[in-house]
Amino acid sequence: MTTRRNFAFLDENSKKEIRRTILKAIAIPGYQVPFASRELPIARGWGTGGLQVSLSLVGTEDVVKVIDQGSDESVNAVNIKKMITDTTGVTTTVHTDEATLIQSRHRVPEVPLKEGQTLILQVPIPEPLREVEPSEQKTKEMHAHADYSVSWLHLFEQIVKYGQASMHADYPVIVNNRYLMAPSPIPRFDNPKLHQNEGLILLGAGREKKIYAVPPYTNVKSIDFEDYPFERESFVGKACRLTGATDVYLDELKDEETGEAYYLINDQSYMLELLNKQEGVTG
Amino acid sequence: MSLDTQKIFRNLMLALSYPGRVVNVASDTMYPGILYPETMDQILTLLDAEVTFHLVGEDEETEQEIKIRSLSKSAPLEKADYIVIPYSEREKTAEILRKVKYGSLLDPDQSATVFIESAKVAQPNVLTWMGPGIKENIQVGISDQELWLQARNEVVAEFPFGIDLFFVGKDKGLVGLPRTTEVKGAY
Amino acid sequence: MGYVAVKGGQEAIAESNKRLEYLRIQSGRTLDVADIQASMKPLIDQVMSESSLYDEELAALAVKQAGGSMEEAVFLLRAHRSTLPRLYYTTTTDTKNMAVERRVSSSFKDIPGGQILGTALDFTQRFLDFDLFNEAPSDLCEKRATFEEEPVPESNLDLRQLTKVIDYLEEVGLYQRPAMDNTEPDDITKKSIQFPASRSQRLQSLTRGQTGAVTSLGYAEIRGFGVAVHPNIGELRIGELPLYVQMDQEDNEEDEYYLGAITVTEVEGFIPVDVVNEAGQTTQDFAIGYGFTFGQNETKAIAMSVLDYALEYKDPEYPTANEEFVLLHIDSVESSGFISHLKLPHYVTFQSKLDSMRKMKNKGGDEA
Repeated sequence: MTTRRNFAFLDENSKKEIRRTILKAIAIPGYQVPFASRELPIARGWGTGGLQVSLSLVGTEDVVKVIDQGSDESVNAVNIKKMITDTTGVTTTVHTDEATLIQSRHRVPEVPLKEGQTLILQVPIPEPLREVEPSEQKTKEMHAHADYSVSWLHLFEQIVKYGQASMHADYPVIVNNRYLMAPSPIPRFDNPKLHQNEGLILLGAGREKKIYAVPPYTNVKSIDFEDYPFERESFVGKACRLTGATDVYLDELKDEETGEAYYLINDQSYMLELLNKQEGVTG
Repeated sequence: MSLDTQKIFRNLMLALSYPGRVVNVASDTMYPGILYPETMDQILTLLDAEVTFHLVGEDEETEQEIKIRSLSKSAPLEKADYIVIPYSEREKTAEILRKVKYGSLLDPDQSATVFIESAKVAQPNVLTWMGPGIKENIQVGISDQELWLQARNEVVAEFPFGIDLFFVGKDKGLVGLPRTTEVKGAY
Repeated sequence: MGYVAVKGGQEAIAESNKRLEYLRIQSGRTLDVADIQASMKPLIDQVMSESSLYDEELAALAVKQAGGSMEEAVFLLRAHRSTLPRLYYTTTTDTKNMAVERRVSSSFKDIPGGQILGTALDFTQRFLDFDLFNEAPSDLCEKRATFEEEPVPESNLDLRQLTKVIDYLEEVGLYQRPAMDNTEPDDITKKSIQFPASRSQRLQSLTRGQTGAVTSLGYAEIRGFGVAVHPNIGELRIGELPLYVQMDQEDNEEDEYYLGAITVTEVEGFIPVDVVNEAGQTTQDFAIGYGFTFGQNETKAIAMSVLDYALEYKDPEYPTANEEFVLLHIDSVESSGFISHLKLPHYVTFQSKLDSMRKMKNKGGDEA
């Protein structure tokens, strides 16, 4: 008994529901729009939200890039990319500027998005207030009334305790001067990239069944206090060992022989592009 | 009939992400009824049995076509998820926009999406649009803008309440107007 | 010579999958899907219930493919369910019409038709049977022949028309049925659950719940972390339930088409609840806790009935009265997915945390 598979796995009705949800998300920046969220052959918690968005968008003319923690070759990225190509036959790329759709877990690519590109971020917990309030019913009410005082209070408590914010990734932002949003576990370093970017950013949480969006050219501001402004991770005094690049997110590694720490650009395809450019190699 | 809903949807998404920019959505399908084929393409891409629509004027042939192809059911204006205003009914646009559902604070997404047929979506009499999706500002001209501008601005005045509009032109252009866009102009 | 990405990830996955397949076939022995379907009925029933898909053959296939892992089998079947077009809803079905195979009540000794034990493990002796090491298919044939030679006593009990205990109680004035609520039920697979949840959303979440999770929470409820201390099972019935679909819009019984019958478990539990009457006096009545599953899943259905009650008559002191706590954490695919996702690389977020912690220590050093 063989069954024919739908293009991009999902049946037409599932895609329609997700597409309708995406439009609503774009119209209400930062607001988590509920959707039915189907189970996929990849586990919940492993990117099914992002994947449902990608599968509902992808067409034969797209060029797809999938990354996880900055890497195109990480096992999770490869697995997701394989699922997309197995069910669509679509072209893939590692180069950010060649892609029309970029699905990513935990990083925003270093190469800025251009108009017409869509970045799809995988989200484990879409609710920025979840750490301070476990109840969905209550957090929904807070969003309804823009009652985000608990989030600022949480930040205040951290500053009092540690002298600084202790939220390292998934640092909450205010979108379009209205909704508090969880940008997904991207490092703080990537938060400013969301602000007034040229492309569309969609965020999918499969298990929690929410899709939300940051439209292009939209204000995105990380929460902070005037006397304790938002700080990105610092790489002062550090540079990529291979390219010398400094103002990029760097991975810290240990030299097995000398025991010294050294750094490499986390966004692997960007590092390759820089290296090839430096060596005068094209393509 | 095999509508390329994926391609059509990407155009809808583009139009809503970059409000005011005209997206070419020329259709190569023929449909019975009073709507432009481009309008039918858009709504058949979005509608199914899980949502409802309201065709202003309730032209029987067009409604039947929509129901058969999408399995969607029609609903009264105040309740419907997707509203379509044919070109022939455009005089009623303002009163319609004031009646459709605009969401609640808890569920702002439970609001109507309205498709409005226009003669042209790329014409010289312009208004200034600003907001998410627009780099600084953009000049947009849609024919008969005076029919909907004031009503629309009223309904979207208190974000997140609001409605989202798509204009489909006889000139085969599609323009998106989400509730977040600020529209200023002579009217 | 240009730099290219190291393709280690792809190869690693390919090799890992190869090893998995190798281990599966290494011994040269495997179970036929038909064997699983024939001899592992409780496993099939559990998988169908947690997957929310009634198909015994596909459930057996999922079990085979999953190598017996319940987590995996349910995952496979749910993912398959996602690909199926949703054509119809059945008409409202009444368990009165069940062709009963097993029916017991712990509340009443004498119920119309009596206690029908049917097929249950309840009264078996749990000694490991070492003879099963040597059971051959020919032994099965012999045993079957012996069974079939036994005379079966006559009975004029119509198991398709077995009065429900609750109907009997109503007839004799011991129970008053509440007003019928005919609101169209929600479908949580088409529209995600919202809180406060409707009863249909609650029951669907519970019936799809992971058996262990639902059982544990029901246990906590009746053991003291809850109000439903010692509920009584009014009726537990298991049997074949006929299903019908309506082809067109109008409610016309003649247009109903019989689809087939499925095996289900239904539990109606009686739990006392306080009622204040018009005179301001507090008395007690029975409230019903409802449990229902695809297939024969008795423990889960009973636990479900307990939780249905706990979530209907909420006492905020107990976690089992918190509907988000209960309903959002019992789904097998979701809970195992999120727990196992912790194995995924979290290098960047972890590094970000390290950076944050270092900064804290440095600040502390400055202030010292």
